[in-house]
Amino acid sequence: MEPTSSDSTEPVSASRAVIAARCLLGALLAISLVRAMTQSVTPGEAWNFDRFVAPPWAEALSRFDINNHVLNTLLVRISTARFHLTELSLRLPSLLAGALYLLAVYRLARRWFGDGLPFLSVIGLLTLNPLVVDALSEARGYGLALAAWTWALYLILESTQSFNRRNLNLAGVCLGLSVVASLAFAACAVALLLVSTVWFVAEGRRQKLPQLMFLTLFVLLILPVNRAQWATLAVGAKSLGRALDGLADLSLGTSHEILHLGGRAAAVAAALAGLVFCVRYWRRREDALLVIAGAILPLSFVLLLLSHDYLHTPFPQQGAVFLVPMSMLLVTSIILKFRMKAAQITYLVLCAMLCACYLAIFPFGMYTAAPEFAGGRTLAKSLRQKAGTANVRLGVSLDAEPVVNYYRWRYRQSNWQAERKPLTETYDYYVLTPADAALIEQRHLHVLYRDRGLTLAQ
Amino acid sequence: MREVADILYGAAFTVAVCLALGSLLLQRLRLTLYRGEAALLGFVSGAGCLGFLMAILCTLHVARKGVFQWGGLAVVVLAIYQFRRLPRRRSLPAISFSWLVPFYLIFSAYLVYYFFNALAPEISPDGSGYHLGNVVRMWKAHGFDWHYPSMYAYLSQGTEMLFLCAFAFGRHSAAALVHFAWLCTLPLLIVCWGRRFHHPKAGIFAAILIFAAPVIGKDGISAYNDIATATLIYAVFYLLKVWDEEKSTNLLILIGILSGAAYATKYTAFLTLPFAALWVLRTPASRLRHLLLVALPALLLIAPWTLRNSFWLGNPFAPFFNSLFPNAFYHPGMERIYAETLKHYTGIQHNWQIPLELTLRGGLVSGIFGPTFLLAPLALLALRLKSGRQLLLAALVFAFPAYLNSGTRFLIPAAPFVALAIGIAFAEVPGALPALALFHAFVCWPAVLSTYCDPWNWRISEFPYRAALRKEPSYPFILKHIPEFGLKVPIELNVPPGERIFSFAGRPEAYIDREIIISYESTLGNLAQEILWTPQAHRPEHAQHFKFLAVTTRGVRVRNAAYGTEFWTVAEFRLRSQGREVPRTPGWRVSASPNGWESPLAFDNSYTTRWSAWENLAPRQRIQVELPEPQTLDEVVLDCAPAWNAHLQVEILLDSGRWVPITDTVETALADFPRGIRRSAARDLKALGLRYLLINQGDMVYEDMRKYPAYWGITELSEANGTHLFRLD
Repeated sequence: MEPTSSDSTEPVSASRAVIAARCLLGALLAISLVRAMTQSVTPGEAWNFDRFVAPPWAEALSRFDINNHVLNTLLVRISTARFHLTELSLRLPSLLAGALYLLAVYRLARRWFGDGLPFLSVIGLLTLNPLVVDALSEARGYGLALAAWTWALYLILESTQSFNRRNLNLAGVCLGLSVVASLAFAACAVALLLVSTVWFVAEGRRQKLPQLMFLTLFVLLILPVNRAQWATLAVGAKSLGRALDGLADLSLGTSHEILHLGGRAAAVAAALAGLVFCVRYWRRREDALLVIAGAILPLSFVLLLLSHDYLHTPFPQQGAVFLVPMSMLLVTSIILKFRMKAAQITYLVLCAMLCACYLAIFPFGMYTAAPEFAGGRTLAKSLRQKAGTANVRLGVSLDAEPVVNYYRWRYRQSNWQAERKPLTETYDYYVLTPADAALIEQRHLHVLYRDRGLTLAQ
Repeated sequence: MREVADILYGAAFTVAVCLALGSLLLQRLRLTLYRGEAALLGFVSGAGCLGFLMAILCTLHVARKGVFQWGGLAVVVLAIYQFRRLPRRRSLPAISFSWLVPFYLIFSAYLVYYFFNALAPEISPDGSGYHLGNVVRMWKAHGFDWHYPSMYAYLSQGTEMLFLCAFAFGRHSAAALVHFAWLCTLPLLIVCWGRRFHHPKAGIFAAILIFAAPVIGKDGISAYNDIATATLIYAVFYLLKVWDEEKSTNLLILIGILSGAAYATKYTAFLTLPFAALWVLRTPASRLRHLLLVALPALLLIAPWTLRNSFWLGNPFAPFFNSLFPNAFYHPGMERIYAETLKHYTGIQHNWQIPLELTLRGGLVSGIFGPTFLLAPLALLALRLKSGRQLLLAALVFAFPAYLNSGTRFLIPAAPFVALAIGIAFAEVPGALPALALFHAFVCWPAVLSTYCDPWNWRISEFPYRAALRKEPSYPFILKHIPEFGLKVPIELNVPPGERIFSFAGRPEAYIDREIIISYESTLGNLAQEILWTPQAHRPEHAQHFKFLAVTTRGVRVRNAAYGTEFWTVAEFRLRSQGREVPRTPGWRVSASPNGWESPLAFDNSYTTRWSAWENLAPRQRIQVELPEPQTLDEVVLDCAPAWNAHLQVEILLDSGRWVPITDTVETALADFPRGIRRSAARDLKALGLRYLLINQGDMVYEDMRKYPAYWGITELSEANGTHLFRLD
């Protein structure tokens, strides 16, 4: 696997694959923008807003939980303060991070996979996964983390070819930012840090990657985690297998047992293959992508397992999105390394199938994480219309509470009084999830709005 | 505005005299210092000298405004005259503007914020309490007040001497501004150190860390002495480094002066002189001469305080080491209780909490240094350089007082060294120092700080420019921050001048024009506290009877032979013969060991007063009576709240002068306790000259006093914020 161009800037004339890739990335960006503007807020976004963005700083810093993706929270605070609170301003940081991620993927693929079909397939594999597509605009930290980590990888790979201290310093900061954006990225960031540090130390190059990553983490995380309780951090998958199952489910939109087995087997195989290739091609500068990607996948798994065993940390769920670029880059690098036409063609066909599969379940609408809250905005508008400016007491299902709170802020409806009391009490309006839908019959409520996840009743 | 002008004049005049004295000293010593450092070290050393001179004036009781005014002016004029004849000093090695400009921007922003806080009326607990309380008493007495019993009056008071000079012109805020001058000096001195010793970036970084550190800022704008102490210690370290380079013997004199001034400023700087001496002794040549050059000036500056305490109290190191230097002014047991209280972190559940408390939260340790100091362990990376090793050694040595007092303030002397070591450790990481410095300056800004530290963390929390410029009256401003200040007017209206008031807790005595005796600050306070607690806490309801065959003797004593953590106390010591008490006569010679001064309290027929060893139980503790004539005795009775771990035995005095044991068999019985203990307590308090009480609602006696005011014989005169002023009728 050799870099195909010493300069990652635009070639004189772009090939059809490159044009297709640009169109694809442009389309993805446009779709992300539209989704960011039109989709209802997800419970994760609403919870984060309700707990960490809307309250004053003192209150927001007085607690911490794993749902607080610090970098995203910080940027969302700036964005929503600078512009009015809308879904777009809420998602603007993620949207920009998404654009940066797409740019990083483009440059990475262009630099290491030429301008042919492998290039296009890498672009597709790294961007069309529904989990990745969601991260490009959902107001969570995953998009930011993904962008920062991918840029770190890109800059480090650049420096393996032509050593550039400035790029490496930037990579160190990016690694720190990726963890600040989502703690789930800690394992992959540390893995990349360790591998690249060993690489450059072996070359006799002095660099400050660890220090810069550490300082970035320190500066941005120290205040938010000041009040962190360990119990609130220990939320996630119970085993690595479950984390991989979850990733496969979200990526392919289905949850077959065979798929789970296949996913686990593929991950183990990729990690082992990565390790073999890493050892085999260590010291070959032109194989840096293969070596580094080969090393970081197994190392990430090892770090996750060690952390789970000794620190009792859970495994990432949605945060395991980093495995998408990491594994896809590794597998593609390995296949291309063989230079066997048949294998490459087979791989390209498989890639095309996977991309087709991704496209088949492409999330044009609501985010994958919480489709049942797709109608949140419509419901809120209905409620606003019905309630007007009168003070109304709302009985809200626990799961829907952050969403209702968000729209209360969003539409400045301070007259909505969502009370934390049992739903069996009498309220002016009810916002119910399917779990509490029986209440409609019991209390003979009049349904004003209903979709697959939310019901507004009076 | 007149008041503001007076404040500014008082502070500026004091600083000018310090600068002048320092300038004259540096000229006299012919030291080749750079321009910036000469000015700063001049101020520091001049302050030490002024403190020394003021201590002499206070001893002679000639501490008056006119003396300060004309003496100070003479010094300033002389210094200006001398200064004009001197060649201009060289400037320090240059430093990039890209570092200097941001530094001065941050420095200026904090400077303005701090200045207005320092200029505002003094509201710090210790500043308005004993620091300026001592100053006010000295100001009234034109020297040391030898009659006021307080452990805080026994401490060395080098900075208070400067406060006294400023106070004479501008009152409380002028004193706080003098301490603010020290606060400004320290970071600038750190910058000079960096420039001189080839760590300019680390110097600027450390200066920002120190100047912006919340606890340092708050302390520096208050009439405290911690920043003065830290600056003196740092100046000694600075000059030791200079001495390493130049080996000028005159530098050693200056080092000695500053080491002595550090001790004179605060006892916790006692390690400065040994540190400097050991540093100097590293050089093989002329060791004794070098040692003397450091030690003699230091001892000269230490002398006023040790001599004062020796002559006044009989303990050169009062209020500490009372076991070694027993005296009637402070109990060793109280010293132990006080030290134990300060030593332990209260409310800390796990040791890992301590660094977070010191840097981020501050509620349990009274102040924070800011989050960047969490990087202190990484300062160990500076060990690779000689400078780094020296800084870390100094940090370790001067952090020692924090072992004795858990308050964040006591780590301030070590902070500059740690900050510099962190700077050196990260100097080669691109962008690290500017990023960290900006981060620190941002997160330590008072408005930002309030968002993450504990709400009750000791810090600057507002920008009181209106109060500072006296555009709003001081009374409500002080009252807002010191609620007990509300008692000032009632006290001054109801308590006649010259009367003393007893209080269990410290009060803003600098603002109250009456003497307040605090329970834990003196033996008098201890005694008053014991008396007030007697009805509830330790009624002498037990009688320990020691019966033996009748003997004729001229002396009897009861001696303890066991160890324990309790204090042995005796409310009444009675001798009996054939079932009747032997009447006491003026010829009885009573004594005790330890705390013999209070032995008469066991022979005064009052159940509310008692003799206490005020030390942990130990063998050879005794209380005894020698009779003018031989008496036949067959029983000794001790009315007391027994120390159950004590092992007591009665001894009698033989004609040969030898004490022999006669029995250690004790029968303890509940005595028929007489009524009227509260009235008795009130009577004994009045006998001590205490007719007024300041009682908090949380104090143990408050509920009882509220329920039975008639039994106590008290009248409530006033109340403010849960503190009640009572008069003993």
